[in-house]
Amino acid sequence: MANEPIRVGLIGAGRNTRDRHMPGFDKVAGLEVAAVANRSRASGRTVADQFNIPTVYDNWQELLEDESLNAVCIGTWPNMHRTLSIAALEAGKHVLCEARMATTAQEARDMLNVSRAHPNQVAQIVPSPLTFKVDPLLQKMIGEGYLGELLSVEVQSCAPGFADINGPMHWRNDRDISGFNILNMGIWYEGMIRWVGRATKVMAMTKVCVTSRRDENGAQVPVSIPDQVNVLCELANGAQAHLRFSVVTGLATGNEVWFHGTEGTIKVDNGLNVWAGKRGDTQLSEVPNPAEMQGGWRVEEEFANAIRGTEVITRTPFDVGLHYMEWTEAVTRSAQTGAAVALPL
Amino acid sequence: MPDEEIRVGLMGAGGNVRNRHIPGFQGVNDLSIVALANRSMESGRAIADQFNIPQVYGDWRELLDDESINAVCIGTWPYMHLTMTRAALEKGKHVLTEARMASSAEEAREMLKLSRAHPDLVTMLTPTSTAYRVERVIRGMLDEGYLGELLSVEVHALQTGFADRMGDLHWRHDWEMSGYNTLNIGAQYETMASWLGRATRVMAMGKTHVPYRRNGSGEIVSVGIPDHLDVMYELAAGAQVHMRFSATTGLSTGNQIWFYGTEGTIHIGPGAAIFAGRRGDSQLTEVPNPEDQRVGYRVEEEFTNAIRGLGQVKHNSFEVGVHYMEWTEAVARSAQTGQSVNLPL
Repeated sequence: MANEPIRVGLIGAGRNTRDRHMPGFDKVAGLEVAAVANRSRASGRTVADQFNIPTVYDNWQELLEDESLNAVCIGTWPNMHRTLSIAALEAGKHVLCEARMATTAQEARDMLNVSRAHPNQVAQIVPSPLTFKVDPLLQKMIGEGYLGELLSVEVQSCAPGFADINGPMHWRNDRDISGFNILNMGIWYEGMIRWVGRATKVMAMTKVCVTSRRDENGAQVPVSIPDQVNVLCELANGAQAHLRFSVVTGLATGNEVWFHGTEGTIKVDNGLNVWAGKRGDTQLSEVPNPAEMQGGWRVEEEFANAIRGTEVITRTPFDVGLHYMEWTEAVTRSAQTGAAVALPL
Repeated sequence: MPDEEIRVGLMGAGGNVRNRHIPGFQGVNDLSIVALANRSMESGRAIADQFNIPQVYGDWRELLDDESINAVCIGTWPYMHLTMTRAALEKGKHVLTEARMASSAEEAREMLKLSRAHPDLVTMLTPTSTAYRVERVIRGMLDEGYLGELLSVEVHALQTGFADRMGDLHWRHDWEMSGYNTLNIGAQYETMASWLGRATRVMAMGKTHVPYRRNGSGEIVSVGIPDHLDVMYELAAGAQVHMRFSATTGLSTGNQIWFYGTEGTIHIGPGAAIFAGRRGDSQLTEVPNPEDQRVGYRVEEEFTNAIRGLGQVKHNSFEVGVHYMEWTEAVARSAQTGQSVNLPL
């Protein structure tokens, strides 16, 4: 197992695959990216030429029939993750699947169930990398009790541009492709649960401010995915969280996270610097976060180690993915109905 | 009518009555504060001596029997406002009541009905003074369309101290005295509604982080009013508002408001400094707010002008009070049930 050669096939080779996964795979000894299937043979050929990938398949079905491949990296949009993950697991291959995990909680649950039926294969979702830099420091401070008892959390992710009226239709604006995923909500929530654990209750209000966008042919198409979201959560540990996401907040201060406890306060600013203060302090002061403390991107290494049996997937296993998809769906369900939604679904 | 002598009786003489209403009344021509009833004869006597008020009554009902009095100022806690307003109107006296209007929306509606049954008498609520410093600039910018279409509002009313476990029970913590009023939510909403119009749908989540406090006798009593509250609401005009109120956010940045529109952003920072920017700007810049152009406090002048037929009560009429009490109750109802609450109730 430890020396098992890993032969990866790429299904979908978008930017994250080219910019992140390919360099990551390159660094793993005994791993070869051996085949690619992209949206067209031509686009697959371009990627293959760029990265010296020997085989190009016309479609993912053919790629999965290649018995020389024992792992796949799924880099498509969320609408294909369930279909591709399940097909790959059933074809006996280890799966690294791009985030967000799926379009709905049910799809994520199907993926988890199939992965459990294939316990000898690795199933991993690409983790949210947004907060890698501060994850270990926050986990340490909160775990060691800096805050006392955690009372409240505030997460703000507000893009500083004004409403992009009549802007282009991105796949993230397209319900058919993105499902219940909204803005970068799931990415932040995945980070948040590393620090403070899961939500048990969700209330949300959302709004579509830019109601139509131009598709690639210049036609106006209606948008149904919100561009402004407020979410209130009760956490399993009793604290209350508010998360706010928006791309209509011109000149906003960007991203901020606040933790308030009985004895201390921690703030993460827009540059991912950490500030903290305790009862009795007059102000927050910056907390050193030395390079050796910071987390980093090691997704492909973790995937390969798990295949070789030397590591267990923590960033991110399918069960965590299912949870964030349940939370993501709960946000929309609450916004639709005006009722609180309890988790797990 | 314009020359009618106004003879005021004070029912309750707490800090706001002494610091605001008495000096305000003293600035009005042909007005005398002729009598006072406080919680005890002794406390009434002390205040009467301080302000040269000729008559002290042991009981507010005796004060209302004084036929020489034609107007009263009710300065008690909210739980007495309905009872006293009813009795005062039935005795033919004009009524200025301290805010919050009442303990519940039902009490507020009853007060409005009573006032309508006495159209010849003036009824008025003391408005919040929290926004006087910025009122003129903000209203001017909103009226001239600085924001374009309003999309999103964020309000932080955060205290900067840590949770005061086992602290004193203030009347604001006491359901019997305060009813549905929680923290300073009513005052913040009153300001927001005067600028942006009314809410049509409310969702809220709250926590009581300090669940036990010491009352005046040193007894430990449980607290039922939240000290941490998130409120989301939709405006009749379509924008979405989130308000965060807390008495447990140590070392927070305090009170701040952001208005985000399609074309502009306005930010009221700590210390009531105003910043703004438009699409195309690279940052917010401070908006001049000269002291001599700020709105002044004129509650007693407005009350007495209305009595003399020289003006209408605007800040605030009982109608305004009923609405903010409905909103306040909707917040509590939503937090209790996990359901959104539509307004008007």
